Amino acid sequence: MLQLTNVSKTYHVGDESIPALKNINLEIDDGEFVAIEGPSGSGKSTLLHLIGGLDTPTSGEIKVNRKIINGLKDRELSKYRNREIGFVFQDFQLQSGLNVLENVEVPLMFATGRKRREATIEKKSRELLKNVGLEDRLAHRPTEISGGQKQRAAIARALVNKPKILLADEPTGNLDSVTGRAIIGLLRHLHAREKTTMVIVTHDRDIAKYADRMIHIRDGQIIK
Amino acid sequence: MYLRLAIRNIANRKTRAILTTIGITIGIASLILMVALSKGLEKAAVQNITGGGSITKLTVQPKVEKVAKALNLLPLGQQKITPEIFVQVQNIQHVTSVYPEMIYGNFSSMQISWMGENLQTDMMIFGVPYEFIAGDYKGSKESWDNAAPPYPALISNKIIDIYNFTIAPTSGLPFFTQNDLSGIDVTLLPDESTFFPQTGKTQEQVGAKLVGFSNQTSIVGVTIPIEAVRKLNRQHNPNYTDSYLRLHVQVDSADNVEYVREKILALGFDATSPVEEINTIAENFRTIQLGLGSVSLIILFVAGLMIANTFFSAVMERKHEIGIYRALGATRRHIKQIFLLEATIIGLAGGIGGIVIGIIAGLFLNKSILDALANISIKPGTLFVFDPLVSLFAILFSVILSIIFSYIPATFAARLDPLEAFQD
Repeated sequence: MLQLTNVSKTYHVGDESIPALKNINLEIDDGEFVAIEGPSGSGKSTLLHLIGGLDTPTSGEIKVNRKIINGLKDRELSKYRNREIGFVFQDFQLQSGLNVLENVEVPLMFATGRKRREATIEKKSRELLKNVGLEDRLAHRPTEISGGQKQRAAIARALVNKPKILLADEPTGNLDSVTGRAIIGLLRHLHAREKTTMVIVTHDRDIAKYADRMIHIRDGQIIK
Repeated sequence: MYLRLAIRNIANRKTRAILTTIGITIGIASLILMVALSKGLEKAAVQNITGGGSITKLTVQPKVEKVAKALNLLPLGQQKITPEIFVQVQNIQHVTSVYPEMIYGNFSSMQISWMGENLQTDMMIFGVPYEFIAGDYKGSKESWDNAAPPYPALISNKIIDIYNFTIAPTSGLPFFTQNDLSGIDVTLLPDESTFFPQTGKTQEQVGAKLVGFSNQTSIVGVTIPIEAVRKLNRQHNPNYTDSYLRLHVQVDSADNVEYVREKILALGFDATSPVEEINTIAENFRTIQLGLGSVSLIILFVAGLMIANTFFSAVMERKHEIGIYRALGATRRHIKQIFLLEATIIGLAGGIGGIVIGIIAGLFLNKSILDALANISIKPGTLFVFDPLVSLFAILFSVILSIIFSYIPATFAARLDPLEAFQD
C-alpha cells in the first residue's frame, strides 16, 4: 500500500518560497489503477516524483508497503527506484544510442544480485517487449520507430524489474489521440495481467477516465 | 552490458572521443618512441664497445691520469709494458690469450696517391700480431707475421666514417667506401710530420698496402704486423728496448674479468674493460631516458587535462541522461562506473594506438636514418629497440592516466541530484 500523510513540498527560488504541494493525504491500495488529474502547474508531477523517490518532501511522510521512503539514503533510494518503481515519461526518455532491447535492459543492469546476469537480462527484456508488441523492433534505434512504439518500449523498460508501482507522467501527452488510447489500453491490459499498482498523471480527463479511481489536484491540493 | 553501454556512449560522441584518444596516442607514441630510441642508442653504443661480441676483453696500458684517460690520449708515460709484464699477464689465471700492440715511437706520416694527387697526413704506426686482427685480415698468418715491404696494413673503418661525415660533405669531396681504398698502395714515412716538418730526418719510405679494415685497430693510425714496427723501432732508435703500447687480454668468462683486472692492477697497470664503459653508458642513457621520458610525461599530462575537460563537458551534456539512469535505479556508484569505464576504453585505445603509431614511426625513422647513414660502415642494425614490457607498462599507464583524470568529472556526475539532472 502507498500512503502519503501530510505531504508538503515547497521550492525556494532566491528568497521566494513556492509551495508545490500542500498537506497531501493519499492512500493507494496494491493493484489499484489511479489517475491523478490536474492542469499544468497543479503539482501532479511533483507528487509523482515524491512517490518515485526522485524528490523528497519538505514535510510529511511517504510510506510504501509500511516503509517510510522519505529520508532513505541515496543508495537505498536508488534501490527503491530500481526495484519497487517503474517510470514512464511523457517524452519516452529512451537512450538514442541504444536499441530498443538495450533500452529495456538498462534498469536490469542497475539491479543487484542474480538479476544482473546477461542471459537473464536479455531473456526478460525480450519477453517484456513481446508483451508490448515490439518483438520485431528489438534492434531498432528509438529514432527508427514511431511515438507509440517508443512509449511501448518505455513501458516495457518500466516493467522489466517487476516493480510494485508503475508511475506514468503524461504517458499520452506526446501522442495523437488514437495512439494515446492504445497506450492506455496497453497499460490497462498489463495492469490486469501483472497486478501492478499504476499511478498515471494526466491533464486529460478522457485519459483519466480509464483509471479505476481519479484524483483531482489543483494548486498543490487534492480537491476530490 | 556496462561495456556495451560505454562503447555506445563513446560511439555516440565519436569526434570528441577520437580527439581525446589522439591526445593520449601522441603522448604514448612519444613515450614509446623516446624510450625505444634511447634503448636503441644504448645498445648501439654497447655493441660498438664490445665489437658486437665479447665483453670478456681487457685492455692493459700504463697508468695514465684521469684526464688523459677521459680524452683517450695515448699513454706515452715512463711506465712501460715490457715483455716480462706481458708474460706475467699471460700467466694470470683465467687469461686465455694476450695480444701485444706496439707503436712506432716517433712521429710518422702516410702518403697516398689519390685522384692524381699525392696526399700526406700524420698517421701513427701500430703493430699487432696476426691473431689480433685475424677476423679482419683476409691473408694468412704467414703473410702477416713474416711480411716484408710492402707491409699489409689495416686501418680503422671509423676513419672512413669520420671522412664521410665531416671532411667529404664540407669540402665537396666524394664519399669513400671500403672498396675504394682496398688494395691501394701507401707509403709510410717514419719520423716525418706535416705538423712539425723540421722533425723529418730519415727520409725513409716504407711501402705498405691497405688490405683491410678493422673495428679493433686504433683510429689514429695504420696497423701493420708487429714485427715490422719492432724492426722500424730498432732501426730508428739505437736505445730501443722492446715494450708495448697496450696488451689486449682475453679472459675465459665475463665472471672472471674483474678477477683478472684486479691482478693486472696489482702489477701496477691500468686495465679497462668494456663492462666499465658499458656501465657508464648505461648510466648516461638512463639519464637521457629520464629526460626524454619527462617530455613524454608532459605530453601525457596535457592529454590528461584533455581527458578531464572532455569528461567534464560530457557530464554537463549528459546531465539529462544521468537523470534518466538515476530514475531507473542507478546508484551514484553506477554512474561513476559508467564514466570510468568510458575513460578506461579511451585510455586503452589511446595506449594501443600510441604503441602502434610509436612502432610504425620508429620503423619509419629507423629506415630513414639508416638510409641517410648508408655511407657509414659502423652503424647499428636498428636505432629503436622496442621492449614489450615498456609497451605493456605504457598501456597500463595510459589507462590509469585516463581513470585518474576522469575521476573527478565522474564523481561530479555521480553526485548530481537525480531530479535536477533529470529536469536539465
